[in-house]
Amino acid sequence: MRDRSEGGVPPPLPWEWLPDPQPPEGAEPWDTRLERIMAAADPGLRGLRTRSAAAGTSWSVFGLWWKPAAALAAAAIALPLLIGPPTVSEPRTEGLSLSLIAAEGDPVTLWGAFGIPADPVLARIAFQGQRNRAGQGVTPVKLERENR
Amino acid sequence: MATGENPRDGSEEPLQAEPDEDLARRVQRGERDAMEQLVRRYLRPIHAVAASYLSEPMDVEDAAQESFLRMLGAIEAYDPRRPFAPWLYQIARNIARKRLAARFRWREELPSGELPSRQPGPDEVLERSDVRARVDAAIARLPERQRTAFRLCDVERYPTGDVARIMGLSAGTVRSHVHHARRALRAALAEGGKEAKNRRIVP
Repeated sequence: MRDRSEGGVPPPLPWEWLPDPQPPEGAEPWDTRLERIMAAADPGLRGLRTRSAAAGTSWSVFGLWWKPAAALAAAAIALPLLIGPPTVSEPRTEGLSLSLIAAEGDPVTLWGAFGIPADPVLARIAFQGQRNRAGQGVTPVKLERENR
Repeated sequence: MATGENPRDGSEEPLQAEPDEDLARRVQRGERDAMEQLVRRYLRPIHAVAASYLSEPMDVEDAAQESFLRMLGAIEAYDPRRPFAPWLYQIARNIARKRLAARFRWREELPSGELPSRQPGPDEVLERSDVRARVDAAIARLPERQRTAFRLCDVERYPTGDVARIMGLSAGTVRSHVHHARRALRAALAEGGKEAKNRRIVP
């Protein structure tokens, strides 16, 4: 049989030579087949609905808050690392209340601990005044800056 | 929903049909109407795919139904980012091949997907002309993809684009398969009579 193709493309075979096509869409056999398939599929679809609903009641609700909670936890951990440990500020020398615990302590050294170069005589006088007041039951003692 | 007439068969179809992948997502949640839409959309072409492998109408019917049930069973593993039609087509193709192998008790993979020949049974009646019988036999010996593409395009008259989408091929590849099939069939007819021994009888 001669191939009367044009441009190398073989033409379709005559319709009457080919197998019968299926009924067109919308014809009755398809509705019957569809019903049969859906009836067989119903149990599987029920299972999918059950599993989908179970996943929706637990994990999806969990998902509503776990993200912000995780973000807050991460911030709580990261913030101190970024800011660093708190530093103790230098104690102010004015108005500093100090309880004298070392009767034998050198007053000059004591003032020096606060960065105040103390006059040995005046420091001793202030120290002695503190001791007298401590003996009268007045504590804590407020060191005054005598050295000017 | 607005509808339009299908130029192929006059049926009414929604002009803005929901994409297959969206329907598949809904089937993953067990939505029955989504499943029904997919079955309605692909029942006829999947039947045609099964018919390109199987000759018995009941085998074709069972294979098509099993394809959709197997699809449903695997729907949770389906990735909606991938096209749905080729996935369904592969399921249908595998089922049809297995049924074909089981029916003829072939233990090995069919080389090139060729359908086996068989002798007509006593209850089978040859109703077609000799030409049709020879065409049937020649179709049965086509390579798998050529046979399916030829069946969907030339027999069932699906547009090339639809066939390409279902088979997961390019339109050019589908046209190539169809053209090769036509040439092979015409050559087989030109030989005349040589396919009598491998005649595939269709009631």
